[in-house]
Amino acid sequence: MGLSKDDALAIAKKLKAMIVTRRKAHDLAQVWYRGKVIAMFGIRRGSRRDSGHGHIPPQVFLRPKQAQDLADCPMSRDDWLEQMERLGKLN
Amino acid sequence: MIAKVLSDPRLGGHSHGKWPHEEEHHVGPDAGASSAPEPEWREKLGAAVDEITDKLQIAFRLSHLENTINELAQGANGFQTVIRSLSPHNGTLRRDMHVVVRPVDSDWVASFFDGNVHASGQTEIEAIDNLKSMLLDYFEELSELPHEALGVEMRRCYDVLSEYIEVAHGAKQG
Repeated sequence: MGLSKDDALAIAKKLKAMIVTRRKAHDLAQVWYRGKVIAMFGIRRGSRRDSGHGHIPPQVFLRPKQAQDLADCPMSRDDWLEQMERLGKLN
Repeated sequence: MIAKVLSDPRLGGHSHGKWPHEEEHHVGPDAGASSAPEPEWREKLGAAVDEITDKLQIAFRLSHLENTINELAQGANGFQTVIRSLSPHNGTLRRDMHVVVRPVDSDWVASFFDGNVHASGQTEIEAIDNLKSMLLDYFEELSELPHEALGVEMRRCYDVLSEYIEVAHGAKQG
């Protein structure tokens, strides 16, 4: 089973993302770090909690398994930021 | 293999695969003169375990192959397509946009890799429609943020999207 809407919300919460609402189809989760938006991903709207969010991993620069770890717990925001630093995404 | 283990003298010291009660029969003047044949049941047990082991190995390999084929088939179901307009959303495309649509789990994901923008949907059509909407949201949101508030990837994304998208209320200032 891939990432669900609950997983997407869990990732947004863990990364302390700011939720922006624009169009009806989805909300935008913006991840800020030191005054800059370093990542952004969409969270589908609607009541289906199991709606697929397989688009999120590349938006947060992770592999699907790592994104699932981020949602489930093993990976913390600090772990993720450390990885982003290594990937040069925090400039 | 099992028969070998059963007869290993290091495991309990039952040389030649004999158990203590079997050895008792050979204690006496004739001891060592004759060696009893390997009990038939032990050979059969060893052969059966070996057979089961072989079958389990084959089943494991088949399962691995099945998973690999499924992954390949899933990838093979993906396709590339071209978006020529952002309809039904407001916004104009300056040029054709090449996107990839692929199944992910039980949904579809449409991806514009150049800008690293992706969207999911229950069907291919819905994924593409959600991608169009997402592209506009990204572009508008990044346009409204001050340039210095964009991290390296967001700046890159904005630069790429600027080459493709035009919206009524103008491009980013500064």
